[in-house]
Amino acid sequence: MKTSKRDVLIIVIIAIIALSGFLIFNQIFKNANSSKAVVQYWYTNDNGFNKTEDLVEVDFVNKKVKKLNEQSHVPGEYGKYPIINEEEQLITVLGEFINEETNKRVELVIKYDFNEKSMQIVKEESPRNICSKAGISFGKPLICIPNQVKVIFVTTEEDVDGVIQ
Amino acid sequence: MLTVSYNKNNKIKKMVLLANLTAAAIILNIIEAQLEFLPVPGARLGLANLITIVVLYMYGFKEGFLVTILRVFIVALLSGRLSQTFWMSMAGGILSVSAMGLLKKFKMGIVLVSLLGSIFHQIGQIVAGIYVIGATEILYYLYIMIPIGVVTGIINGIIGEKLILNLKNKEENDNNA
Repeated sequence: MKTSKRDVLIIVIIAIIALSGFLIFNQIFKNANSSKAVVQYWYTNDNGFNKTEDLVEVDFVNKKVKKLNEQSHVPGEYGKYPIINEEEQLITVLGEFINEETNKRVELVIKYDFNEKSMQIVKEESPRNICSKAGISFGKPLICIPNQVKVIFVTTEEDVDGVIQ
Repeated sequence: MLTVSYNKNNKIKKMVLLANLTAAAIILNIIEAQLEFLPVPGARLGLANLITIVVLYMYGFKEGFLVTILRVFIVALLSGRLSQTFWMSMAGGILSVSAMGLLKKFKMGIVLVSLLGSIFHQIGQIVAGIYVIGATEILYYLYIMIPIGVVTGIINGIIGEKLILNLKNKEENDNNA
């Protein structure tokens, strides 16, 4: 019941593993040389399964931004999403969170940067604003939970070769 | 381990103590829910876990399990709805108390059991979160949540150890008197 020497040893080992795991992941996310980022929207379909759809692909290697799919589950009065603004490097999608004052679903604005190979949620509305507080990301996925929108990063082997050539 | 002889007085004593500890766990749970600096909804520091450990060592697995489930349930009722947070807390709580109940049998110290329980809690709630939230990417949160869980698990363990040893001493003194 009391902490023995063996326990202290195991605790120290676990603490070291947890801390180094944190530092390693932190470093990986910081230095991730992502080849592209994908903006995704997920929803629960009629059968109760979660489905994810790719909305926009940001190609950091070829410096191109491409619309992949029209966002589904967007009622007519909201218009069409995603909206890509190439001049200001902004992508706008529709979130699931409902603003209580306007009683409407909120927009999420995502800024991309080809040179830095980064993505950032610059505008969103949610109770705790977790995904906009996450700041600029180079490889760590940005997940907006009540809005059901996420940004994931992809590093493919081909593109690594391409960079070397 | 405390010896609880089953006469009527002891039964009442146990009932009152468990009710009080459950109430304390609920209050700790509500307080820590206000400390919203962790990046995942439903993620908690695990202060309520302290009560689970105390009950686990004072009485046993069955009591610890019941107190944990009751706490998660009542906190969800007080918050007004069975949300995603509820399922995540429930999964984390059940996995954590089961793991601690099992590890306790291996003659591990309270601090180590608490630490491992805390890690299992984080894993349980994230795995449940994958289903209720619908995004596999929340697994990435574990890299930051496990180190936090290690720290709070150790702190809970130290407090729990002091508390349990004191209670045990008191019981022994009472028995000798």
